[in-house]
Amino acid sequence: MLDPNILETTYEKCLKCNACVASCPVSGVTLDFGGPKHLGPELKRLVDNQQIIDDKRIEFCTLCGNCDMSCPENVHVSTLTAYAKAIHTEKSGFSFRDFVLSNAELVGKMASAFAPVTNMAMKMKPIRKMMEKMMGIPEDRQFPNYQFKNFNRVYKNKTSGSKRKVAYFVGCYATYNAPEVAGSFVKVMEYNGIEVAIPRQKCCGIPMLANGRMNRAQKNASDNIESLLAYTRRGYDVVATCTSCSLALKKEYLSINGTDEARELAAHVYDADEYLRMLKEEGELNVNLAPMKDRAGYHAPCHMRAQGMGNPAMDMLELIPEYDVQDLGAGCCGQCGTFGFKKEKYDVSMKLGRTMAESVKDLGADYTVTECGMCKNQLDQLTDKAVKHPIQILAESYERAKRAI
Amino acid sequence: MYDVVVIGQGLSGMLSAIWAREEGCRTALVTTGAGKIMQSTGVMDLIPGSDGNLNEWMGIYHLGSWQQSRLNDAIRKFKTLMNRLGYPYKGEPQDLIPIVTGSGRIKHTALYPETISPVTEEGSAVVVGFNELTDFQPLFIRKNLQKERPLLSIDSIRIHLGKYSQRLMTQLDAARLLDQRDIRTDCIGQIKKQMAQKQIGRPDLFIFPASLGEDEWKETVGQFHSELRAKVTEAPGMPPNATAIRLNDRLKREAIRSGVRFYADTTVVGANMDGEEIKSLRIKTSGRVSNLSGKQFILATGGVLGGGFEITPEGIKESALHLETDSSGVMARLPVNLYPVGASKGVQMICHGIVGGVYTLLSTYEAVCGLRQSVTGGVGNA
Repeated sequence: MLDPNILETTYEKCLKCNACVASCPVSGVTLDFGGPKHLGPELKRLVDNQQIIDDKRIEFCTLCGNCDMSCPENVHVSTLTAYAKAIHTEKSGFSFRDFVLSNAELVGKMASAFAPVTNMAMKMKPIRKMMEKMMGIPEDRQFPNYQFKNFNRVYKNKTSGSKRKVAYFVGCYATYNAPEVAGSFVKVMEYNGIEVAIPRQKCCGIPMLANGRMNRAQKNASDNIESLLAYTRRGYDVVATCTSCSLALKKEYLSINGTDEARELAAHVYDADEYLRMLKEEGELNVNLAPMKDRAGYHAPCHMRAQGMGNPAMDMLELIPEYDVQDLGAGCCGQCGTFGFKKEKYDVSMKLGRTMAESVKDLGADYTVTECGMCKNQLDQLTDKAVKHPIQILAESYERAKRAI
Repeated sequence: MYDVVVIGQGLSGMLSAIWAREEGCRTALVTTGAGKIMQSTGVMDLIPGSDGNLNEWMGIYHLGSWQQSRLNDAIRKFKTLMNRLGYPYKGEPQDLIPIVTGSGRIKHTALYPETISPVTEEGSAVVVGFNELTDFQPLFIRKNLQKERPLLSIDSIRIHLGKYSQRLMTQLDAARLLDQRDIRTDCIGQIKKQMAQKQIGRPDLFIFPASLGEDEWKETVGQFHSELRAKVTEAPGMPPNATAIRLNDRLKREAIRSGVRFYADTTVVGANMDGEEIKSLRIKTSGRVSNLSGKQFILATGGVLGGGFEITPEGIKESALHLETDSSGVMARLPVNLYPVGASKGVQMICHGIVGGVYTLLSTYEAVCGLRQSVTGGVGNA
């Protein structure tokens, strides 16, 4: 049975101040959601030592973590709502659609194996109509493309004996949808003379958590902890280009796994830009970056902001000479991982995305930069600007500098 | 790594960070969660809980007369900022105005957003409540207000927003609904109809909960004003008040867009000292404790209510940096590069529980002036 008693912090400090409700993106656009306060600390208070309550209203929680960021009393609201989701799924079951959506890794493997076909199929109206009817996946929702040459097919581990060594947690998105991001990361590390190994890894578990499949997420967590610790204990740093993956490894595993090993791993995990910024501070970064005259807007993913690390992507992009980047400051994109792919959430997803789309339009930059593949999916659908990962910009700047020599 | 590191995300923290960026400082803001600004009214009193005038205020807060011109500068700077952010503030600390709160009490305040209007001694007013909002009871407000304004003729009516909610609706939820034109129009229709039924004449003032729109507050207030043909005011009560959320959200967005780096869900657990100077902060996120270095630091953690101080049997403890304080919460040996603002300056600043916006504006302004001086002229912390 699920045990929410392993939490580091308690819900008892909740003063019902409503800061989480006022900061919750979903509560901001719909009254159908029960809200983080009511379904987090208050539900927990209600069921403590009592019979568990299955509350359907939890379905609208996206696990974005804005409640955690807003709580002045340090209550980890999203851990409580993650358990409420798990209880709901355990009691009420989950649909075939949610099973598919939460299996990002399996879907990635299959879809990329038949990539040209799957991509085409996802753009065909009759197929999408059928998917909406049979699975509840909205017809108008765009999907990310899958790549046949996925990153697992193209990358082979190399050893160079460098002082710093990186175990790259690629994540499902960069593996199956955006191998160019993974490729750029490897390049950036090469420019810094750092060896990159790809450890055996499973999906970080965030899509499973978001769909209430706590047991599966816990299973993936313990597999990843075991696999990654084998690297950190040999002096590797774990680095991720997806901010949801790094959030999972840094934070979520502490609450859904909670072992000493989870804690040990968390101390070695970095977001890619955070890692580069640390190299910069230690004087180890290759700062031979060529000027780039682009003008970009930066969209901060919720799971980046939840890591409490400032804004490393902006810090790194500002190192590129003549590069003009501006934080959009637009809040949640509304895609929210698997959330935006669901028919009954589609309206909320679109309403949430409006502020972001308007900020992109108002800024009128050349393109948008964001770390998150899901935010990119929403940006692709709602704006006419290209979307790039910050590591791709850095890789290009390094490459231009190399060509200039 | 940063020029300025601000601790705390309340009014003083966010203003410090925004103003530090305006000075060209690389600025970080470290925060456990939202500041008490979220629970505030968004209205800035001189002496919270008291109607004392400017002279009394200067006395209570031990301010010299030379600080009066600084106060005016601080308020001007704040008003300029809020004008730019599309949520203008009115009022002067020399001239307090009476406003009605969500409990129907009158309080005198110095600075207030444009959604608020003063309550007169005489004339007539109608209190309008929404059925969906349990924490704003028009009858209760009317009776309380009547005690303080015996010459004012007051009526109260209840209307509905017409939306079913899966959670207890707050004033902020109501504000977001009133951002929609069709809901506003429907509400105005209900008000007119009820007034006709109850034979209530057109009043001088309509009193609403702090719910008159969030992003579209201007359109909302404008439509109520023009179609009801009377002044309207918000009466801030139980949080979250739209009056405060508008202020909070606009300041936060401005801070982010101007390049302040937010360290959210992060708690400051101590400081690494180098003699009389803070070298870096020890910050804790769920996975680890790390150091965040800066040249200057602004302590904006609030007082006892904000969590900046804890009252213990051994005395008052400063809770972020664990610096030694005297019995009134004033730091015994203030590090030369640390600037406490607002309630962080000590408990004599929080005589009625909270520090209040006007003092926050002044102390934040002074701290930012201090940053500038120590950058350009090497003058230490005053």
